[in-house]
Amino acid sequence: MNINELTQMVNRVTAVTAGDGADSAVSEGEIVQIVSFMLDDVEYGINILQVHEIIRMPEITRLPNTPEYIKGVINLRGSVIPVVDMRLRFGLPQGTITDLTRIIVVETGEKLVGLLVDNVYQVIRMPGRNIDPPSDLIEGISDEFIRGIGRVSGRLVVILNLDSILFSRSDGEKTAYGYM
Amino acid sequence: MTFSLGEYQDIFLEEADEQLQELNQNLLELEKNPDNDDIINNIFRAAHSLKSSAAFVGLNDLSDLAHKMENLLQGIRDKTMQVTPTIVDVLFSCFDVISSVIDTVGSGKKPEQDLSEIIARIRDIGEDVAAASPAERPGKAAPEIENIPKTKLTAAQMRQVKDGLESGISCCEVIVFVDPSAQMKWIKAQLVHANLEKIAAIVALMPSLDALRENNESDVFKMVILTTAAVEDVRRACGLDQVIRIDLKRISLSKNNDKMVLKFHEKETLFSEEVREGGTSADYLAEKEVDDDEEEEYKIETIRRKDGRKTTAIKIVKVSVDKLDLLLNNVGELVIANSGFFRLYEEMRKANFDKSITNEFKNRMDQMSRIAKDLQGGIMKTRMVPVGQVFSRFNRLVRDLAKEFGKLVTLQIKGEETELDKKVIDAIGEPLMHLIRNAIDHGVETAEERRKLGKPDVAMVALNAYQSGNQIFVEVSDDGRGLNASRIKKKVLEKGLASPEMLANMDNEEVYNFIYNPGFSTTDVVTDISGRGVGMNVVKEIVSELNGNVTIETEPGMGTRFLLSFPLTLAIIPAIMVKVRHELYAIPLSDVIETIKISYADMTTIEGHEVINLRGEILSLLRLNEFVGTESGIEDDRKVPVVVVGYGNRKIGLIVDHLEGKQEIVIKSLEQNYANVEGLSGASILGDGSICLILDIASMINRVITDQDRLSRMQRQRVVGQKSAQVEEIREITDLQRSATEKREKDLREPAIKKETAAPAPRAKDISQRKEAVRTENAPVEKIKEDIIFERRDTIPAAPSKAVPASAPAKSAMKAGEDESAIEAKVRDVLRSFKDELKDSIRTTVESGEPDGHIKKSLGITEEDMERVQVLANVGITNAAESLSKILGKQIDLSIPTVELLPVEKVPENFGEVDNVYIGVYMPLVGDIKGTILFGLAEEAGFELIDMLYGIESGKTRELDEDGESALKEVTNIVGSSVVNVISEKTAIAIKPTVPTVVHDFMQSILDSILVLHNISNDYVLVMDTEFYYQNDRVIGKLMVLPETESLKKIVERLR
Repeated sequence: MNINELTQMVNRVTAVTAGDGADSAVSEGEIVQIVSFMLDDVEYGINILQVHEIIRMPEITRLPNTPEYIKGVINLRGSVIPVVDMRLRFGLPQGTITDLTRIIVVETGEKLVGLLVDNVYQVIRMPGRNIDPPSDLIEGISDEFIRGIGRVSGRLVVILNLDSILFSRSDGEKTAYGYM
Repeated sequence: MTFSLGEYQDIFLEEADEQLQELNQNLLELEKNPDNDDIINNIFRAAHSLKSSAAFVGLNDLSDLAHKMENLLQGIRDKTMQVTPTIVDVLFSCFDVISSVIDTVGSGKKPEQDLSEIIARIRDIGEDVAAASPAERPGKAAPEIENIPKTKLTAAQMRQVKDGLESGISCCEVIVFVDPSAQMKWIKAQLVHANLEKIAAIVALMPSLDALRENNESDVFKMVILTTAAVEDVRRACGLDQVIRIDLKRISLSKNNDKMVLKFHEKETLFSEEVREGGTSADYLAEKEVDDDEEEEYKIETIRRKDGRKTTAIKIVKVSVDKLDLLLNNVGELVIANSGFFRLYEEMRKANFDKSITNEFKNRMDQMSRIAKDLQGGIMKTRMVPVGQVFSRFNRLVRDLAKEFGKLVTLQIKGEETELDKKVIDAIGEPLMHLIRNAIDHGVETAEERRKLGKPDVAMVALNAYQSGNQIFVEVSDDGRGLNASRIKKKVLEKGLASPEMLANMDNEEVYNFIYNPGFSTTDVVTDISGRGVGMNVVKEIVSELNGNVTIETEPGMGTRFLLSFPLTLAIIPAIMVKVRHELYAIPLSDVIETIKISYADMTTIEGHEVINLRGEILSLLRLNEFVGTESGIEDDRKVPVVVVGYGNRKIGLIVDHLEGKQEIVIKSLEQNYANVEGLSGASILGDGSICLILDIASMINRVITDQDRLSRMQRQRVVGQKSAQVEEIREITDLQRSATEKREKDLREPAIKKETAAPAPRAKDISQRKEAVRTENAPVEKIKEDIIFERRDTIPAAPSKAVPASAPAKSAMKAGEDESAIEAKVRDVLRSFKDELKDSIRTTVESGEPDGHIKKSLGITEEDMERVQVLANVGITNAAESLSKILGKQIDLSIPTVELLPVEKVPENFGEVDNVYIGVYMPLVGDIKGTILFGLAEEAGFELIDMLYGIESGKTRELDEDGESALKEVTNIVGSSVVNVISEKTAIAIKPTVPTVVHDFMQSILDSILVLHNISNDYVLVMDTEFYYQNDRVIGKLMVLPETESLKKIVERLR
């Protein structure tokens, strides 16, 4: 997806949310923009400020001796960046690659990481106060990935915490899974 | 929160670093020569510059300290004080404190070191001396008026001063002292300002008027002015009521290490109440010769103005390493992107593009690739830094350590001008420090011990650096007691790092390697064993990270030498590309020892680890596919390629699916966006944009070695007892960036040679069976020995001489069609015996490996020589294409050939399928050069060429008739003669081709008939691949020149 598409999407979504009663009354400063994607029936969101770009599936080079959810590395204009299969990261069954499959390139820490998702659903604008702290509501995925739960016109969006997307807390600082 | 000194921080740090280095160097010298005035002056100057620059960026404490140092040194300079060890120690401490402050600033923190203690120490010394000889320092310590504001100029002001000075206006600093009792002192400043403004341009007033207005206490102010007025005028302008003293410092431009600096000369007091009383003020107006040591320097921004007249050109630009890295990265990309053009070029050729365009494209492409390579080399060079700056740091360390351990040690430094990559320079300090520390702690004996051993009292630790090949070596050596293998062994057993059997099997060198073991380090290693445990692990790790290696040479009682080797460049490395399934991996060429082919049958499994007996040595095997967790793409009954890789003095064999070839790759870190992955040292982006992972051989070997070490001696014996594996050495690894052409040709050739004509089929079978037999007979591979080659060269000439009398008439008889069967049997006998010998020699060549390598040795032919031959071939082929086109009356193109020098035994292999039928046209050469020209084509290709020459539909010719033969003879005549004529012209050797003959047979037989018929005992053939183009058709053949060895040498020599 290029930036135009993204902008269009933002505009489209902005138009929708603008008519959204209570939400639209909030001042601009508190509005959070979220890029959301669906995995199975759950909608997940990433703060747009963390999103570097969204790309189609390029050729992925498998990275041996790494956890299963590390799909491999890709060449992003000369940078070698890892791609995390979000389904496997969340312990969901492996998905299939389709035309809608996208890689959301995000910045976490100093690193650029690609997140392999089934689709990019939309860009949501919501007031910050609509985001609640993580609760037990969401089953399945570990709460280390959850920053909060956003309420958007009756839906719930799981806002992701990307800090531990590459390494689990238990993995230690900077080492990937070893060969052993 | 980070602490910063503002825009001058970087300049300050850099300068301070230089001054510290100078200080350090001189302090060390001072200790040795306490009476040398030059050294004291140098230290004084360094302290002085440090004082000024620290004050300049507002590090007042530091400036104070430097000032105190300066005072102390002043005493020494004036001979009121003697250089004592105490003083030197204090100066060293000052140096330490100053470096720590500067380090803190450099790391972005606010320096909070307490300097009062050290200042107090200096003061104590000063007082001691003063107390001891109070009479010697009368008035010398006349207190400077402390509240003189510091001179601070902004960049713009500096430029103004500089421009002014350059256009011939004089510049000076005027310091005006106002009577402390005066009221409204700032008014004085304003008045002076106003007065001076009439005769001069005022650059700066310090403190500012506002500051003066607010603080009535300040009774001194300074102005930097540019003026053409006389000194007296200036004095008058400043000479107001209640002004008690006027000082003036002239400012001039001076050059210091290519930097323009402002030089502040010694102040002249123009006017002072005391002086006035003495009435000697006139003396001060005279131009006074200024003592250089007193100069005060300020750095000027070294920006040359566009309209600048003839000013000093800037010779050095300082660039951050990050910027260079980025640039290098980009150039690396450029090189890689450029290799993409090769592919494009191949596509264009395949698509039968207009030839002139493709050629032009190729020229441009080559040119670009050359520029890119140059650029790359250039940038790489800019990253190279002399190693001396690291070495010089250790003078101090050696001094301190020697004192600490009570030993006498000198440090000898050599090769400090050797350049190393900046990255290595930055990282090498720590390992060197460990090695030096170890050398002094463990290696070097005390003076008494040394005397007893008959060694000089003073031990020597030497640092040396030099370049050899494409590696840089850094050596740390000592003349101490050397490593003690038995003590290390004891330690190894204590620690359970190896079994006694294993140790017994190891030579000393292997034993020494235990000191790199992390378990071997630090405190538990007793100092009296020469174990050198401290930090050796760190040394090894850091050096390995830089793709380097450490080796130990030691002689008990004589000393130890640690040799660190680093590759010349770090960013781009040559690598061998290997494939597992469809995954491509790169193995750095520096880690590769050889590439071989083995069969699964030769592998033995010991406790689940696969090993082979490689020339009597056990080689552990690691299946790459298992290491990277994928299926292998090869079936078990096939021979498999193995890359033998080494790390340190360990090696293993990596079983891969396929060897792809050699390529230069740019290393990209995986850690940057992810993490270090075990077994991978990085990734590289290839020409097509895909990513290839680079294997970390060190970590792979470590894993295998731990397993291997567990094998007991007995098991080792068992493997060694087994027969050696049959190893086929893979001699040539194609250069991937260029191999595309060859590969495509092979693809094209293959379908053509697959077809077999009916007639020679039985013989083909016969031969293939015999070949089979020869293959299975293969003796175990022995070490490559030169004498095998010589042996072979002796045997070959014998064979043809036996064969000739029988075969020459036989051949002609066969031609005439007489008594065919009898003669043929005879010929066959002779040929068979000859073939067998030939096969023997093939086998020896295969076993001895690197046939191309020994060409150089035995014939003294170099790459350059080959290049010259290539040029001749190009000209020859071009001529040939012209003549062909002319004779046939149609445009026939010939491609530019690749020239190779091949041993004659390898020619059939080079052609492709050994068991296919070929057409060969040979043309003996007469004249001063003896030899034969052979034009060889696959049968199908021959038919196509005939079609092409006669202009009939392709595929029509199905057999070789007389017309066909004569066409081929003609082509050979034209092409061969063109090449030979060019050679003849260039070498001024008379060469004349004779009448061509056509042979239609197996390649081996074709060659045999030439060798037999013409009694050529040559070993090497010049092979030129030629491609004929006519309209959309293309035929590939090989033109070979088979000169006698002597003739080949002659040609090569004449070309030089």
